Amino acid sequence: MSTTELGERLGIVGGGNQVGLLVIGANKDICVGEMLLIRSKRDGGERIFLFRVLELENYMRLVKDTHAMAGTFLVEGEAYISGIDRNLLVLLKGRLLGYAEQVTDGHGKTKWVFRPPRRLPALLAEVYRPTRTVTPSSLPDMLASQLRGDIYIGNLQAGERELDIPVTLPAEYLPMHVAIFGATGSGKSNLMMVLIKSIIDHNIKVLDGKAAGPSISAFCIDPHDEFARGVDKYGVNDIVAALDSDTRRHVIGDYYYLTTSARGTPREIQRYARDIRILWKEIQPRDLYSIMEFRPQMQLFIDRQYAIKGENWIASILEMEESPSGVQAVTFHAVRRRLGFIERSPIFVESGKSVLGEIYEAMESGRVLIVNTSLMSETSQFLLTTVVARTIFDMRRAVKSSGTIADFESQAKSRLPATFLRGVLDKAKGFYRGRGAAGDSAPVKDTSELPVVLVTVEEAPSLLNPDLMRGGSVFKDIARQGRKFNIGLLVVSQQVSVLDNVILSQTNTEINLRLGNEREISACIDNASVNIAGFEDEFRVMGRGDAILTASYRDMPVPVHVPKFDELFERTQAQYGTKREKKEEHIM
Amino acid sequence: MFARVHSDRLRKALTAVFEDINNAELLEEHLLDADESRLRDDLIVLLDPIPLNDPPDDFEDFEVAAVDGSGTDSLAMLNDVRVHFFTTATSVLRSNIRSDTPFTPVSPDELAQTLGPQPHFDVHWNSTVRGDAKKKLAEILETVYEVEIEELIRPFFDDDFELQRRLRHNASNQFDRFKDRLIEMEDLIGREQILSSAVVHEEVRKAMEYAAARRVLESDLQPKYLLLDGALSVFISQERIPVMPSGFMLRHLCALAREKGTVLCAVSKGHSVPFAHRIARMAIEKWSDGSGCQGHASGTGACKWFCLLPGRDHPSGGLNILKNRPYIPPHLAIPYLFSFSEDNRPSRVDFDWVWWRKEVFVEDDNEETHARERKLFRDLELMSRDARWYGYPVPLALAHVVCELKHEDVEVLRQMCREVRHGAGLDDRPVRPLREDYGL
Ligand SMILES: Nc1ncnc2c1ncn2[C@@H]1O[C@H](COP(=O)(O)OP(=O)(O)O)[C@@H](O)[C@H]1O
Ligand SMILES: [Mg+2]
Repeated sequence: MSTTELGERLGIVGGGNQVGLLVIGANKDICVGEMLLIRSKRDGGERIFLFRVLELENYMRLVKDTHAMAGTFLVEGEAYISGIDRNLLVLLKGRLLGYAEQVTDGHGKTKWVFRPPRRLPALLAEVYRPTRTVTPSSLPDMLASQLRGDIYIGNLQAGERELDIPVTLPAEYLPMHVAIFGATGSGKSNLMMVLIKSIIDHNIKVLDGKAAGPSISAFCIDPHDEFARGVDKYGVNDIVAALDSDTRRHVIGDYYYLTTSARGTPREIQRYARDIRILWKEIQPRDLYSIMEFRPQMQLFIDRQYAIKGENWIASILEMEESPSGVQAVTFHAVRRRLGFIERSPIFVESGKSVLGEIYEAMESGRVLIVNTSLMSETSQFLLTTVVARTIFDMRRAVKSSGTIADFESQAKSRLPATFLRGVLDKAKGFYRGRGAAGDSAPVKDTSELPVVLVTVEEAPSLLNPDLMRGGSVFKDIARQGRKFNIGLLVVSQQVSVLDNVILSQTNTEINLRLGNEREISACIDNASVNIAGFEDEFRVMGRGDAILTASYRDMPVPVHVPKFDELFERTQAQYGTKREKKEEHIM
Repeated sequence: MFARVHSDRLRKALTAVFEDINNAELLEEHLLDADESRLRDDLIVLLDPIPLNDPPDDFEDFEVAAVDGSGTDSLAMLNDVRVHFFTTATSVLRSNIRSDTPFTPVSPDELAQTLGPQPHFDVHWNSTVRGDAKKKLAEILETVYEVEIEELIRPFFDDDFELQRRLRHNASNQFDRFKDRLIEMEDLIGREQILSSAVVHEEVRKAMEYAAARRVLESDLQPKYLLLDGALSVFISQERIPVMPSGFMLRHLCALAREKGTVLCAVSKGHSVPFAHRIARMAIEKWSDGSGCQGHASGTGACKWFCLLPGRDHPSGGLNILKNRPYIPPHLAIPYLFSFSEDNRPSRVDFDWVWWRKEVFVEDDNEETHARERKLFRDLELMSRDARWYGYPVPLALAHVVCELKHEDVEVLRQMCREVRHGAGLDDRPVRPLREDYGL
């Protein structure tokens, strides 16, 4: 690789350790967050280290550091560094992110591998800065293990510049849960729209045979009704509208937009909209325990009622005039009060046609659903999320613990409300039937072959806080075991500090946007799946759409710039319009 | 760990040794006393560094080259065969003092074009077969430093004659006496018995460094200075000729340098000059007195100095402290102690006596001699301000960095030896030093 290929030459390595490196370089407008490449030759091999600038210091002040060279500059006024402009010296402090080196595999093929920074670049190694125009063509290859996946979230960011290198998340890690953290206005909603677009794009590729499956489903709560219409110019609806009907039928289905009342929706969206209706019978006691606190006596009463009346438990309680024998009046009234929101809810209904079955089917078919919860109470929104998540989780659990379709049927019957199951059983058997025997003696598929299901949890602190999680929250089970069932949580939160530890520790991917205050910054740094100690300043200077991606399966914190959805859509909309060429298996 | 387990006994032994050394120094203290005023008033010269922002009008930019080498005498060991590995590197820098980059290294591409790729390396082997050491060494030296033997040895005799002539009236050029005995490279090698593996290694390494220096002198480059790592030493036999071919090579090099108008400077960090620390202290005292320091006001205010170390052959006689040090000054060389940074111990630089006598030393004119010395050291000081190796000439430092062979490098090379042997279908014997078989 030639010198110029790494970018603009900035200077040389002047010393340091793993967490701080002294780079002596030209003062060319370097900013916090800048990503530098260091070419280091050792043992006949070449390593390219990545260095991230976290602090800029006037070197005169830094001389207090005992570092010999810095000291020399102060004491010996006439010192220089041969080959470097002595008037343009600046000391940069930062973090070594890791290094890339080329290795030859067993077949004699060379490829880049990226390694954590267990080594240091050689002293005096040359330091370069990739620029928009001079980005090493091999940089994406060097960083492949750190950047490549299936779901695009943005481009690699280097200081104030965005490089033309996409950053993506691997689909296989989504079931290990993703969190999006960011203050109001940091770009969470925009990122959600970008993610939804990327998921649709991925599913189209899977459909066309251009990407390996499985496809990805997402149940996306949209508390401000922004995703479909968009914030400014475009929204997800524009993608849906741009698709040819064949593709739309496959990746979207009949509808993608769920709302309290489809009739009140603008016409262009109404075509793809459905009313949310969930039957009381489809709600289980633990759904409620997951969203609000019940004292033990209250739970005892509910559980007794559920044992007697089965799926009619809610109606039976709401019909009671006074407390049944053995139940204290205060307990009875407290439970009634708590169920009051269901009684008054337009979406949780005693009778009629439920949409839960269709939601379930969409999730087993690799679809995206956007759920407008802007006209619901928070509690209803949480109950809806919980019922959907628990239903899919229990269905997958039934599959996982079965050998054959017949097993699955009995497993499902023991776990799920009969009303719900009656409507979906035949379809479910279709989803889960593996190859081999026919009918109910067929083996079930492995859950890893089923679509990845992402359930978003918006306003996560209200649902995933330690108080609620102490009980038998559905989300605790999904957090811990979702991976086995290919179900992942997509947690969206303004705060990190208030979330329950189980959630935080089980989340393996964090997209950290700008945060509101120092407490959240430090909570975010503590929680990140990759060590980002020292990134405080970086968070303080982040702009809209700037993010630091940390993932346990990657060695390096990745700075990303999330594009504005409008720009991304304008840039790529042509791909939806024309009939896409499918990759077919040619028989010759 | 050895040093901890036996620490009490060790401490005792070490105390005894250092007391002994101290006593030995005390015994020579009177020699320093005898030299003190000469050192202080005459030999130690304080230096005004060139200010980068305002160089004197007579300053002209120049080119400077440096050569360094490295190696291992045990790259591979196969029974009685030893494989030696050598590297050398040459660096060339150009000054541009009136710009923001006072010294700029010549690019690797340009260097490769004129001097071949850097670093340069070589692999050789020897065994203990009778007569083999000498023959092999001669063969290696012939390829490393390719030259007609007569051309090679002539400069030593000419320079030596030049020196003898100044000391005695009846001196004659010894070339004619030796020319029929010194026909082959092998004839230039002293007794075979001294050819231990370490000696062989040193000799080849020197020859390689000298060969690299010669390539610079024979190239189109026009360096004002050519820096070598180490002293300008030529070890002389009882017959008063160099004991090894490298001695002749060094004089050959000196002659080439004089012809080209390049100043050969041999810089050594390990100076082996007695009382050097005391000379340094005298320099600092002289500097803080402000005595004898012409116009020393500008610049950084750091104490920078140099000090000639005259030997017996000097017109004003030798230093007393060097009386019992036969190798200082080396034959046909002029050593100076110098220091450009108070943080470091003084270093030593040796010049070719013949050149010095002609270009620096002015008989009976101390002022003029010092003026010429100052110009010389002013340039050396200027090239020793790289913050990475402050006080040490940057060209040598850069050459060192390029050729330096680290422990890990040797390990990788050894691994390569095995792979190469394997690839060539040779037996799969280990090649590492035998003690490593036992983890020793
Ligand atoms: N990546 C981005 N680039 C440019 N502007 C953005 C980006 N992300 C968000 N914005 C703008 O910032 C504002 C707030 O974004 P939004 O996504 O609603 O933030 P949040 O949901 O975190 O409150 C919106 O006006 C949006 O257009
Ligand atoms: Mg928002």
